[in-house]
Amino acid sequence: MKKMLATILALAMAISVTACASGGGSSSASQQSGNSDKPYEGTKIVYAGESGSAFGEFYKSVTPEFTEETGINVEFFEVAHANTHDRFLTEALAGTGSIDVYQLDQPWIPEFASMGYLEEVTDEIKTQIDIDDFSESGLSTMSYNGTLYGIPFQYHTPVIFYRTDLFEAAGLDSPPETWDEYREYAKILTDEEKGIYGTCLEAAAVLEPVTHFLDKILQAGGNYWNAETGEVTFDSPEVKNALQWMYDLQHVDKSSPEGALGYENGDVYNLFLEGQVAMVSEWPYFYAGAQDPEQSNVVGKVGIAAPPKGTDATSALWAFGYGVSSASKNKDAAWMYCVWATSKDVLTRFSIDQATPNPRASAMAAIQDSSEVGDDIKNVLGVIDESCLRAQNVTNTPYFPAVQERLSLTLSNVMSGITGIDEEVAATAKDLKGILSGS
Amino acid sequence: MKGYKKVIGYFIKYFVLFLTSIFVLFPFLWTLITSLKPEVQIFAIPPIWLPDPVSFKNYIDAFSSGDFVQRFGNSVIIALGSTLLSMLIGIPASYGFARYPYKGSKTVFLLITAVRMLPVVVLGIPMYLMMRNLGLLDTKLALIIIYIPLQLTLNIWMMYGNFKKVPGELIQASYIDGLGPLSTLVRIVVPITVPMIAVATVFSFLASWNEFFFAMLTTSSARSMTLPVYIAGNITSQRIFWGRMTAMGIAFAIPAILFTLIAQKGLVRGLTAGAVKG
Amino acid sequence: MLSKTATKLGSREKRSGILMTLPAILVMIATVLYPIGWSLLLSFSDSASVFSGKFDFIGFDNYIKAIQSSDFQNALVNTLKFVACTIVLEIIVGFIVSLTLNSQPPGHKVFKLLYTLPLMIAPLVSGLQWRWMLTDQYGVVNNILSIFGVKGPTWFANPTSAFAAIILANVWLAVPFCILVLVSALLSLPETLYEAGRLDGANLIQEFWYITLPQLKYTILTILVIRLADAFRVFDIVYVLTSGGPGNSTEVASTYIYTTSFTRLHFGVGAAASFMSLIIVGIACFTLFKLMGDSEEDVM
Repeated sequence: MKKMLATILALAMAISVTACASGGGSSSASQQSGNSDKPYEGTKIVYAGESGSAFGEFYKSVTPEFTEETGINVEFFEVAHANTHDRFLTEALAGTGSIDVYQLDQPWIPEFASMGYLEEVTDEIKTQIDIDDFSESGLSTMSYNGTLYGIPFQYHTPVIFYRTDLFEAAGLDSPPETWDEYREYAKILTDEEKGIYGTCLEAAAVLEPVTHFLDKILQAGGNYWNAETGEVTFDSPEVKNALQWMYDLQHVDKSSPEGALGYENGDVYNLFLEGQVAMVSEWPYFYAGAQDPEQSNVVGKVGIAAPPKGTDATSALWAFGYGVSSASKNKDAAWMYCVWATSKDVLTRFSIDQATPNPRASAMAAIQDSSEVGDDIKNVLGVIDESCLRAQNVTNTPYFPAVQERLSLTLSNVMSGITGIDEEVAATAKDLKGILSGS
Repeated sequence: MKGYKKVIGYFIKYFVLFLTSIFVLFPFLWTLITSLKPEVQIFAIPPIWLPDPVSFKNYIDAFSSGDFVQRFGNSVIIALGSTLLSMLIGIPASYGFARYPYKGSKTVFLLITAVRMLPVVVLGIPMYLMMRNLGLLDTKLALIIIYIPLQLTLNIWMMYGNFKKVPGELIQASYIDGLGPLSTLVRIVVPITVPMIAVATVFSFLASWNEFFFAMLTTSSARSMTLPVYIAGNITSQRIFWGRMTAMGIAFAIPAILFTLIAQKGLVRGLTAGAVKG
Repeated sequence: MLSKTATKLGSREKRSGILMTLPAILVMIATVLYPIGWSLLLSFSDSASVFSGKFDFIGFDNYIKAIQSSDFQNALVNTLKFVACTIVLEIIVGFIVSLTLNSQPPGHKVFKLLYTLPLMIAPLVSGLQWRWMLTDQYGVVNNILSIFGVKGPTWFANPTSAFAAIILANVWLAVPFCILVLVSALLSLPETLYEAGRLDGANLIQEFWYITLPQLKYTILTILVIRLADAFRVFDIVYVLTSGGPGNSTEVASTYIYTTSFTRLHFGVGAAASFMSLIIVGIACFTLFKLMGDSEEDVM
């Protein structure tokens, strides 16, 4: 009875929060005071996320509005990206309860969920956030075995960014749409004397490049496993095609700098902003950086297009979200934060600020309707959002971190010519069978 | 003929010294140069040698929030605290192992040294659990407690050889003068082994000042977070903030340089004292 | 000499030894006994014990798994290669520089100060710094080489140059240690020894081989044992510079243990691998003691 009362209270509270947040859009609208409106006044919750990330910085800057509305204080617990998984895992298995809200990074959601470290998103919360407003693909990134464990605040997939000036100079009037065109254009655009490369791949032996490798596998019509049957499908012509395509781009066409074998996204970002690369298949955040004169030489010269299609027009979908730790001692307050952080108003501002889409349809529509948002941002968000709707979730296994680690070795081995494609694919498939069966 | 040889000798010597100091110094210098460049110049191809104009934006970025200063303070307290304690415990222990062996002392000495040979990664989770049980997570004290044994395994072993070499006659003489073993250590042995003690202190300090893994694992807020962890935060999933990171790296190295300089002073003084006695 | 003094003072000496070493022993017991014991238990338990909190013993399975794993074998071979290369280079460069400094040419104090600089840089920062300098396109090292007409390798693109990169970064970080320790040891050598050598007509090389080297036995042993343990545990530099790549050509024991534990969640296997590498370093150090031609009594 008491619990029910609390839930109703929390519900009413949260609805009023979302209502006022999505209503006026300005936090000053919330003038209500009095303790009944702020049942968690003075509660402290701990938000754990990646340090220094632009997404996290945005949330840090707007969180005071949440505190003002609810009286809940939010403390930030930040860990460098390379260590978030390990650190949060240690924290969770020790059951300290020192984290309330997780900034969820997709690769480890199924792992944490399967171990019982994450709270389920209950029906009440689903009602509060108006779950139907979220795209299905977006929600799939936060799900494991059909259960939802978090609310996505951002999703993205690599798209093509290209240099409009270089394309014009080379007589190319539109961005590539297919793999063949991508290879052909990259070759045309490469000008070794000027130090310009048609494109830049990533193949360092780290986790990041695997995300692009997965894009290529999906575009070739393959996958590393069949999520329904649990069967490993890595040793297939599709996967080999994907690897061959990348290998040829790098070593036959030489359209990508040799250093790419040791690069990850940060390096490609620097080269693209420096003006040395004509086009890349990269993350949406590249756009905001490329338009910032403080760090970019290519302001105003960047176009955007959907990822190139192989046999399939698709790519891998990646998302960040918010979820609640099972060990949290302030779960209700923690969920209030998640609900607030994924409200239409906050997400609209987030997407405009970060030039990155979110999976809430009404927020994306609000941006397209807004007169304050420039056409270029609208276009960028539109292209990425559309690509996201066609993209697939590839992390639906608790063993994904181990899968990703194995694939990083596959990619690096093949791209640096240490092992041949057939041999490496067979070896990888064998290892993946072991990993996915949990041994 | 002799003068000719001398010139060649100097030439070879300075050649060696200059070449090696370029190797040693350049990375440091390049970090400094990078930290003074505006963002667009950092990634110039080919690299720009000198920043033009010199920009302090990275330093302003690094220090403006006050977060850096706070973590700086934590690092200083933790490094000094653990170094002081580990030297206080380590000097008599090392001397004891070297000069007053007892049954089993050899084994204990070897075991302590062996701790140093274990990959630290394996100690991460149990250390974390221990600190949780003590209620010390996210405190400076936790890191001091973790660093002391790590420093002990280093400094006990480093000073051991030198204590061993102290002439037995000197110690005998001090016994005759009526000093006990401990006061012999403090009044006679320590003064003549200051160079090695200084070196051991420097290395203990640096081991703590630069430690990353345990600091990453046990700290989570401004209360206890140390600089290496804070600096690593510049490596994000989107990009590495080289400008800000190099600025922080330079600021991070300064206390270590000061500490080494001061210890070196002691080292030189100790050396001259040692030369007179030896 | 030692045994003579020991018999003279007898039990008082023993008591002093115990009293002086006791605080350190107690501190070690209080701080590292639990973590090490816990890990040792874990190395004989199912990895799931980490999550359940109860040790589920499975005997030597983790050890067998680690030994049979080609990843661990590869990591061990790489580690041994790494340790051998880096220590040989460190000692050679260390001796060349410290002998030069020891002849006290004008300005040697300034140089000595310069050499201490890398000591103060955290391995993590140093790793990043070298990655920054060696990276393709905007890396400064290849740019300097090109001034001299040399085309530098694409450092992280092939196994050999990637390996060279981690050795380079590690030597940079560790050589100052060797220099500093050797210089202070050289300074404490009595000049009379060399005077005697010169009277016998020894040349510089003979002087080094027959006088300097034997005198520095303890010092070299100290350096070797400390550096061996450190080099064997190398983590930060590899993690930041190459992450074990390309392929797994620069994967070392510590990075293997790290991914095995934290990525694959095989904590038991990771612990077993840790204790096996501890045994290997232990054996290596013991062999060093023997090879240095000392009876144990002498060294201890």
